[in-house]
Amino acid sequence: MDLPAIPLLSMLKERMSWLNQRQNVLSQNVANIDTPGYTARDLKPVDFEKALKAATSPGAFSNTMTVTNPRHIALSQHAAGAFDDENTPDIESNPSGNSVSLEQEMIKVADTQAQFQAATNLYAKAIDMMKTAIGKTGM
Amino acid sequence: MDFSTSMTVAASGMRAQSDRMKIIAENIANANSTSATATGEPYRRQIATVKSEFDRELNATVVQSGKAVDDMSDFRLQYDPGNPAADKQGYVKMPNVNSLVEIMDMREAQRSYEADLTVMDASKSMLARTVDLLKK
Repeated sequence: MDLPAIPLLSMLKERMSWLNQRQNVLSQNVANIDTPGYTARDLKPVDFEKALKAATSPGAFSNTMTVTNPRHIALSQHAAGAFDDENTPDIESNPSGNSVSLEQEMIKVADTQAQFQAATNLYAKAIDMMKTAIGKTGM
Repeated sequence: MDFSTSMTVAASGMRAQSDRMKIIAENIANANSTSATATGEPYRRQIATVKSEFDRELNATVVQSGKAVDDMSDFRLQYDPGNPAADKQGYVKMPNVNSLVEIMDMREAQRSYEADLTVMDASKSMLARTVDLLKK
């Protein structure tokens, strides 16, 4: 059994790559804080309920294409950087047309960091629980 | 997982801000650089520019410092008849550097630099968290 096939772990992996990509977008905002005409961007939030349903529905494991030959290349469901981003001008915009608010970006960075921490902790916990189940107590 | 992208972008911002600091330092250092002759011009204040550029390799918008442009505002005039650079009325052209403006610019560059550093710190700790999963 491969680990990514477990719904909880695959969801956490998805969450972590979403947070990773968000961090990329936020770092672009902060780097361009003095660029005239730059508009702040952010990732579109992922619908958690939809993701949960997709991960826990009975067909979740078989949502890859059936292949008639094991050597056929499976289509990857998610290309790298598949999450959409959008323009999200922060409240203020200075005379040069730059709409990045440093404070707001810092809050978003801290938020992303905390959520990433939560995801990795959950991941470690899930692995721990599995280890308990197979009888290997202690790390 | 690719945190190196966000760290590279933050580093590009830090580089742009330190280039800006260099120009501000030039302005402050030359705040009293007059011309040697009456017909010449004193030091002209430089303005740092930044521009964002899309990096195809990173698939991200990095920031780059552009060419510094001249500040075309008028020079200050100071009455100093003994100065060799003084005109017939005894006025010397002083650079159009306003130290207050420069200090404000400097604070702004410093603040932006710190923000980039914070982002880099955050990315680094997230990367360390991911690597820590190996220890479990």
